Amino acid sequence: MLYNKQTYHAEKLLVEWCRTGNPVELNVTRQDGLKQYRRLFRNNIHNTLVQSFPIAFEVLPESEWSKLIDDYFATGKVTDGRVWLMAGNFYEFVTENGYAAIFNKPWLNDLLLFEWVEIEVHTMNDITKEHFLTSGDALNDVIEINPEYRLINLEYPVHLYAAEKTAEKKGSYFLLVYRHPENYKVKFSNLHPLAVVVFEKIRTERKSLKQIIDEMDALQEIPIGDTQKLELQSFVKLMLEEKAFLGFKSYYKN
Amino acid sequence: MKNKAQIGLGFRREIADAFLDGDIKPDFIEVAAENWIELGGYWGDVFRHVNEQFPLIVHGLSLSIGSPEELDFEFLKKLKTFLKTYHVEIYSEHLSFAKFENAHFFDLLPIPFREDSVKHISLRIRQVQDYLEMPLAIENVSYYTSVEAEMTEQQFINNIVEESGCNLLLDVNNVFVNAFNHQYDAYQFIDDMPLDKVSYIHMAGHKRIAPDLIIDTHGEAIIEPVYQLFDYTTKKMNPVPVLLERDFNFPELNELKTELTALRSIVNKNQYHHVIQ
Repeated sequence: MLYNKQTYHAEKLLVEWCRTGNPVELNVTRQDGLKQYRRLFRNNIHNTLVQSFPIAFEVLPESEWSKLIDDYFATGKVTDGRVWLMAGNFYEFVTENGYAAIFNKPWLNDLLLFEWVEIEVHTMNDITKEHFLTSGDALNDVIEINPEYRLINLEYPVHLYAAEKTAEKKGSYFLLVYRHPENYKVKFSNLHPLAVVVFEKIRTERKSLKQIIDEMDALQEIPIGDTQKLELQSFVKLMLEEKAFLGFKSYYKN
Repeated sequence: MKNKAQIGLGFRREIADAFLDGDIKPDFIEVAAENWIELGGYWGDVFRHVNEQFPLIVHGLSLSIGSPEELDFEFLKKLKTFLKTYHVEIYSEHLSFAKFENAHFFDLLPIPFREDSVKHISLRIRQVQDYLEMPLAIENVSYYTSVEAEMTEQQFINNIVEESGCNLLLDVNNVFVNAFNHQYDAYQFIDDMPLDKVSYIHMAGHKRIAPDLIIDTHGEAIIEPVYQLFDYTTKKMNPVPVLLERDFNFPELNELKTELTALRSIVNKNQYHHVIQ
């Protein structure tokens, strides 16, 4: 760095002023101009986060939303210059600093995660898809999943009910968020825990649904009755229709 | 696009359909690299389509040439790939800082106009140019106060252009805004700029929020005095690409087209003026 101490310090104080609004001793030509920076700077953060978290902005009282923005503005640290990633960074900031407990809104972290993941899945870079067949047998062929997805585990079902009504419904909910490969729309599927297990096995083990069910039965990992087998087949068919599963791997065909 | 007057328009999502449907046809488009690098899905697809239809100039937001910390070479690597992929000939950045101690704040803060700043920034510009293997055009930014200044803005810009060997993105609206806010002569400022180093011009609207303060909003139409300053500037230099910046408060397309036409007519009128003089 070729800045001397005075120049470095001037930039540091300018940033401190913008972030906190605390008075700083800076030799400036326009005090009113200095104030503009803090206003513009905060507006940028606020507007980006309102756009990213419309539900949280709607359900939180203004004082709590402002507290989050002010605190994030003062002490948050976004290390990537791509503005859309700010939402993910904000989610981490709120989670790590315990605002859900401070505000007595236990669902807050899940709500922010839900809203952030929608942005992430919508915007994230395209993932090269392996070759797959569009026709096949949902039970006996190996499924090719759509790689543009996130599977999240929520304690509060903010994807099913208004956030304020989820405090009494604490549990374990699984939400598959994926991007339609043709129209790019973000879609959501609430998954039963058994479907999550099967989804993970399809993803990692590259076996057909029948093989997975048979192995689970044999190992008695999870007892699966006939009804559940039919439900799992329906689940796979639905995921194929909805393009959460793209099709079938030709080279694994039984 | 070198040595040929071209009038472009910033490609923004709010008006993306107008570009894709052929309702507006600038000579080139400009995008902020950070808004499109490694973007997938719908907007990634839109970007690929629009890039097939228009030459692309890339403007930067987050390089933060005036930061004290090391350059972000991870970002530069992505940027270089992006510039090569889309055959970009002009890449520009702001003469400002937008992060400190590796925290981005998504706004442009004024660098102290100081001798050590000139050395620090010139070195960083050379590093960027070496890494990207292309020239960087550095933009004169609007600023609402100077901080711990040792020299004037025009001295600062001239010294950096000379010491770094970079090009200049001359934002004529920013010259107007700064001249108004800091009470200097905008025409004299233009005279003092290294116009032979200008590779690109920005034009935009602004908003007066107090009797003595203008904010550079990119959300209003260009006003007549800024057109006049642009006319004066383009008479004095070789034709370079000119961009209409509009980032907010988008008007009807006809209004944008009218602005593009006005810019084109001024550039065409002045195309050979400085040669004849």
